[in-house]
Amino acid sequence: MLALPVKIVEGVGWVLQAIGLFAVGFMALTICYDAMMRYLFAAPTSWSLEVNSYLVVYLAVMTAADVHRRGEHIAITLWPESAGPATRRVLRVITAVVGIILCSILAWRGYLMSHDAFRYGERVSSAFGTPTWIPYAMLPIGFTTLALQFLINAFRDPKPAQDDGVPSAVL
Amino acid sequence: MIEPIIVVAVMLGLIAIGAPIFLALGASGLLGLYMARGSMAFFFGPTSLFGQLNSFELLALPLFILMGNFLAATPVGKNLFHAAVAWLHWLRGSLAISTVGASAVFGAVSGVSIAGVAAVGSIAVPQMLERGYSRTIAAGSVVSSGALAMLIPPSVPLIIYGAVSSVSVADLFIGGIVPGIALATALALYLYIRVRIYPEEAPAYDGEAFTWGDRMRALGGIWHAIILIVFVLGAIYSGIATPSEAAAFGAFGAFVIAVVIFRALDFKGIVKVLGSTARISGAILLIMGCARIFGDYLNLVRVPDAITSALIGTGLPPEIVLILVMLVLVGLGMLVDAVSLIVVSVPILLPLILALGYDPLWFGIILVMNLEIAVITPPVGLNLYTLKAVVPTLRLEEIIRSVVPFVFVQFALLVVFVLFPSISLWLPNLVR
Amino acid sequence: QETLTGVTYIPPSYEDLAYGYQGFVEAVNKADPDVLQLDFYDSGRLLKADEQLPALRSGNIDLMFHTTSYVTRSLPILGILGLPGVVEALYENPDRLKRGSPLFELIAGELEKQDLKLLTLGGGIFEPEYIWSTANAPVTSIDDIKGKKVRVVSYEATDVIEDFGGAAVRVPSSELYLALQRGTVDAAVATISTINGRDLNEQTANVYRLPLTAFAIGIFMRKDRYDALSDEEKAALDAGVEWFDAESVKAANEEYFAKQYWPAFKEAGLSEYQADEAAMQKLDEVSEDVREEWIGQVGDEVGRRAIALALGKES
Ligand code: NA
Ligand code: NA
Repeated sequence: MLALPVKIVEGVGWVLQAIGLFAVGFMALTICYDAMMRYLFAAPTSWSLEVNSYLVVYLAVMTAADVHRRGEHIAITLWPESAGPATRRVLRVITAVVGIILCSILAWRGYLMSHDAFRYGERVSSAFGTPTWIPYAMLPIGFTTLALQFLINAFRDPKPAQDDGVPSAVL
Repeated sequence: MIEPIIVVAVMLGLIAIGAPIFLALGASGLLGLYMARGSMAFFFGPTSLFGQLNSFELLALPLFILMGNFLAATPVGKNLFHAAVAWLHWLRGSLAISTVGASAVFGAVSGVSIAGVAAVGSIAVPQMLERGYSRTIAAGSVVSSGALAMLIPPSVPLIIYGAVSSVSVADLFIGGIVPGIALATALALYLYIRVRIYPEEAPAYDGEAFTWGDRMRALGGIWHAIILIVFVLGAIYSGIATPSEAAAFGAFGAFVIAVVIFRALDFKGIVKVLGSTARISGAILLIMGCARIFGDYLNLVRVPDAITSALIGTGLPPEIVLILVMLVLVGLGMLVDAVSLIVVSVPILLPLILALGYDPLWFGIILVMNLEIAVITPPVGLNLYTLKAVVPTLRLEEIIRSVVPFVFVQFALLVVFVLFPSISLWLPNLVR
Repeated sequence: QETLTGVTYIPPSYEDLAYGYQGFVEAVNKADPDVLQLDFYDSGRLLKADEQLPALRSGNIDLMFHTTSYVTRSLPILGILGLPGVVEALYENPDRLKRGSPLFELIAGELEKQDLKLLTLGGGIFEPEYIWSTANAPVTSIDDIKGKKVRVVSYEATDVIEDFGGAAVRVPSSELYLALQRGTVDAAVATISTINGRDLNEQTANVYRLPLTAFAIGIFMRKDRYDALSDEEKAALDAGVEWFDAESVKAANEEYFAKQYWPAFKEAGLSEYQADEAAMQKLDEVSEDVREEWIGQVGDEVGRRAIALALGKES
């Protein structure tokens, strides 16, 4: 039985990575489109470079929680895997605590960064001119979700990904 | 100078207990920033991470991973290696050697080394393992040769060095060709010798003999791959796309091969490929962002400056100083990412190099040869993590162990180029 | 003793631009060493260009050098330094941007409303950005822009290139060299500093000297941080600011661009095309929209006054 909060966190994490899936497809299509429009018609987009660069940040920050739920973040697991259950639990909790601290700091400072950018109306100095608070807002969202996922994973080994990787909360 | 040592120890400790690499780098970096400047410095966390990742050039990573994932659903990789067996089965270790060749070709497509590892690794490693190659040969040949993308033009690190040093980018690109080919040759030669000594690492082909008809048919099976490479290279060299954009053409071409030509993926399959691409890229990119937090800490307390300055003050003969500089660069390359290494070390080292009477063009080439080592040495060695991400069946510690001999080969070649600058300069001088 | 952390993303290899910040740091550090020191990081080794302003806002750094064109949409008043139709006048009359001049005070006053302290703009703008084109796709007049793919960064340049019928293309600076080499773009709007710093002279054969836009490099602090400095600390800082205001842009424009880069490029075969009266007139007409849009951003009164001051029509 999963408690409701766990379902919510894992559901949010899954939705964020599902959007990442569209982001990858969007990147491939829009970059080809932009290059062909430029080459054939001298009519490139004003937004491809800017938006796609932000999507790189999206992939790193917003898929992180779901990747952690699946235990797919890259690590050297030699020691925890050869250790007994008690040691393994201790190592897992240390990792979770450090993870929560790191993510909380990044989420908090990221929030301030986004907040200031919003308050002062900051924008990229390009023709497209993205208001910078929007991409910055990925930091508090992504790292808050990841912090909560660290908390959940502290109490169990990472879920081996189901074939389609969808958490029970979403199905 | 005790604080940086604590920070590095914390990072290594976290890696040892099985914490994700990104966490080890990010948390130790933030700890260092806190010790140096108090809680204010925490703000470097989000700015470093965001600044590092908000980059169009990095798009090549997810897009080449996407290309590799689409191709993995088709028999293209299998066909390629079947052709390699058909033509080269008499050569022991031919698949590992072919992998080095494939990476060199891919080096002409991409300017970023992790993209090479992602694209070549996802195809080559499973094929080598299936044919009984040892795991360390499979991993080591991909991880080390993937870095060739930085020496063989186009090259992002050489462009950055050009900007920092005022050396002509055109000359640097020409200068990268000879060392690039030399490095590929050295890796191939090492593999050849290694499998002679340890034949069990690369089993000889024991199937039926190939007729010339078989060989021709095997070539018929790889035309998809050839068209894809021509397509991507064509997009770059005709000016349709920049190197990072060309990755999108590669992904699109691979999509056509997988979905239209082989009909290997239905809608659900495509969604799965996109999803795993997002997560694999995300895992690598997050390490990259957190490596920058760690690097910013080292920069804030000026560790690279202190080490390189100490070196300059030794008053030893030039050749010895140069070798020491190389060792220091390899050491720093373990801790900071490729771009940081260029940006931080060049302004300090270049005056010394010029004072010793060396050519800055040569130093740029040497520096990128150092980066070839930096990207495969832990704890900040993105090629290692990229291979782990695209081939999850390999263990990270296995991958790290596998690169050790390759690092020695690369360092030996580096020393040759350091001691004989004329080798790297003759081609640019010919063209100039 | 107070220590201020300062940053710039510009590397020392851009000697023309580095001359200014290096001189500033030196002047501050020797002014009153017991009172104020600068802990300075160049080359973007601490912060990339786009992250400098957020880091300054958060109080993580105390002082930054920033290229004004990078932040004109965040700090719109700085747009005056790159307005087409205005930059030529500003370039010819650097005194209009020196500290204490009415235009400088107007700009500084507007930035104070955003809690920023502008210390100096380097005493003027750099030589304007012109159109540098390849041998295969020469741009030698306004008519030539039509149908060409022109790499731009700022939105001021984007608007003008599009109004002349060209395609405004965004290319990351690390790929611009290759883009020009292979014809992915035909031309780039850039200052001679960028052309020299990125070796783009190897790939461009023509320059059309139509002053499309320009920028200055300013020194910025957070207002409350600056106000909290003691008088002695301010005096030490001021020693560097004075020097920077008097020397930095002047040295770049005269000692580096005019005396070194231009002669070297022409020696190497660069063809130079001047913008004639008719072209300047046309640029002025076409860029009317850009100026009006900018006035809309900063407010009618401030905008018109700033333009009048820049053109020397008011004092
Ligand atoms: Na390359
Ligand atoms: Na490394």
